[in-house]
Amino acid sequence: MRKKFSVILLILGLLMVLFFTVAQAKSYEIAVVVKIAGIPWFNRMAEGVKKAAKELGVNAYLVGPSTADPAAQVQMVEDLITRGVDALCVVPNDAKSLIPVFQKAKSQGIVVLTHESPFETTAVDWDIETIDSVEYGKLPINAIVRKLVESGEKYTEDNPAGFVMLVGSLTVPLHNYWADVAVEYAKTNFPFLKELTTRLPTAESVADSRAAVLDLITTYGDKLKAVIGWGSLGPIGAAQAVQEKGLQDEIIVVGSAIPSTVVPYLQSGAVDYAQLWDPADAGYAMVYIAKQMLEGKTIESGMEIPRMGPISINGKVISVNQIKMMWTADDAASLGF
Amino acid sequence: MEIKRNPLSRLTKKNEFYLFLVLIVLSTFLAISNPKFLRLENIFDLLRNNTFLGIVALGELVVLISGGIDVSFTAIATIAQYIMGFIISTYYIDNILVAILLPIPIGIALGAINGLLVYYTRVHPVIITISTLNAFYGLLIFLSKGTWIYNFPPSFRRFAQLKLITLVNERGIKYGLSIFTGIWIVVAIITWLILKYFPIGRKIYAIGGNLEAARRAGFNIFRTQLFVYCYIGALSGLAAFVHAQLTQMIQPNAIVGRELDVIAAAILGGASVFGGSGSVAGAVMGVLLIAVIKNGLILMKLPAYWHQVVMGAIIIIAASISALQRKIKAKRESVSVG
Repeated sequence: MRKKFSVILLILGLLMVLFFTVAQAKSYEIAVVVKIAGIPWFNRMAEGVKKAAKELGVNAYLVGPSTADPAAQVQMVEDLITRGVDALCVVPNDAKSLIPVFQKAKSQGIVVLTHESPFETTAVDWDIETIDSVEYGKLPINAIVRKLVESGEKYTEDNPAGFVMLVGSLTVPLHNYWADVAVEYAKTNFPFLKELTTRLPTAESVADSRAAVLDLITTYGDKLKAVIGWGSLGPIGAAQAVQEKGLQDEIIVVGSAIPSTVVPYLQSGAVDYAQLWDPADAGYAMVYIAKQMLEGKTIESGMEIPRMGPISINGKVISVNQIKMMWTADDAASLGF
Repeated sequence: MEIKRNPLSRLTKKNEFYLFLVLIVLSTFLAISNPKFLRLENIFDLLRNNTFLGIVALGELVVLISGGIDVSFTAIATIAQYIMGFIISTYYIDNILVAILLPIPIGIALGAINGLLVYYTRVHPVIITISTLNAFYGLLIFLSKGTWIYNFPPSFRRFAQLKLITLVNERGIKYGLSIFTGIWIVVAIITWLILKYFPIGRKIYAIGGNLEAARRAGFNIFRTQLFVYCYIGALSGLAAFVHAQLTQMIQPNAIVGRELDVIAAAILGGASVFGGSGSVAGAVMGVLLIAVIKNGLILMKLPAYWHQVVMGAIIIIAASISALQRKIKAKRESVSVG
């Protein structure tokens, strides 16, 4: 009796295992590999990935190396290929070093997508951006011009309004691309804006940005009218320096900033305008596009990503424009990350 | 025969003298190219911005003199800073003394781990402290999930504005000698006193000069090494407080990665990686030299591409001068012995 019971249990158990394996096999496995796991930015992205997994019925998850090390990321992608995932969505530490593994993945029929890497797309199916990078470069310049006009001062080519830009480092491709766009845009449209010195590589540290802006204030005095921080800590450091010198009404601070960190600075007026995209959107969009491709649908402009509107395609870059603009503390607080 | 020494020739034999000369030449050069460099406001800002570097460089100096090296202090500072920030912001402890005193024992405890490992394993301290750097930092990232802390009580924000001397600039904005510069000066004096007048100071120089000789002379190596690593731990904790004050934001990844700046400052100041030599005055000037260069590069309106080139070149020049200095000294000594 007892033996019979345990045999039945065993068979049932085996059936269940079989059933789940089959059920699992039906849903696509989509791995999102980020630059570094466990930092707030990518935790937020993981929320978007989880949401997409739930809504789209796929097995999507987010992983990343413990340090932002290109080699560790390549290794991780390599392991996922061996494991036989259906799609790889990667936020590269170093886009070039991933080319060989991407080629390997594609030769095995794995869908390969990237994010934040619009300039190195040779070995990928698509790169997905949740912002229009040209637009992103122009908006801070527009914000500066708007603030200058509001101040009532007249600036001309002979009496220019000086600005300085802070980037994460001189080798971060996106930061420097935005900076190039901004300079070009300002030159052609607003000749009364003048870049006082070449971009400084401090925007990944509050302390460095703060020190640099203090030095800039000393050097250029009232010629310095605006600071643009392209890395998300640049505007915070700049705002602290400006506040310390009581110049929040004289110097315009704009740029990328994580909404929750910039709230107090928007409140005090030390930061005048901040912008960013929501990493959760990027996480969702990557999983969404991956699933469409796995189902054999063609990706074309005008296709809709839920809640993000129609996509546009430029070469191998898919983009939706979801720049989050923050003019006031309320704007920033309402974004919720 | 007794060699007669006049004060000037004694001075020129000192590494600190050359460092001071470089500092003066550089400052003069900067002041000519941009007179704003010499304004008190700029100098006060410069001192305040480099307090973190200045305090930990003093700790590193003591470790280097003892013949060791510590690269894990950035992780120690980060942990001390994070625990302090977490406690005062979560329980909203509006008391600045807690914020100052909390990170120091944390730093000492973590420094003690380094000291124990260095003494008992006899593995080179570079290996030990690189390992503890990774272990401490990895654990913090795992536990904190990298979250930033930025909602501090009012006393924490007010303290950052305290000044020892307050002046007013032409626009009516207050500036002055920051309380943090004061902390740096006090730490420098304490370190100087320890090295010069306390028995432990003699022991630190002795074990750094020749560990085996010190052991045979009956020095307690264990206690000395433990002291050295706890001392840099304590200073890392204090510097961590200063760093959090200056940025008003605690990010787990803000400090780690700055090890070389600090070690460079100490070595620039004449401390030797082989142990046994180095001085407080040298370490302070090493930090000032780095600070002046960084400040000057922007003031001279040099493009950022050149910043690292100039920085590297000056470190090479200064280090070569001090190496040359040591070589000449060694030659003289060997001649006088022979």
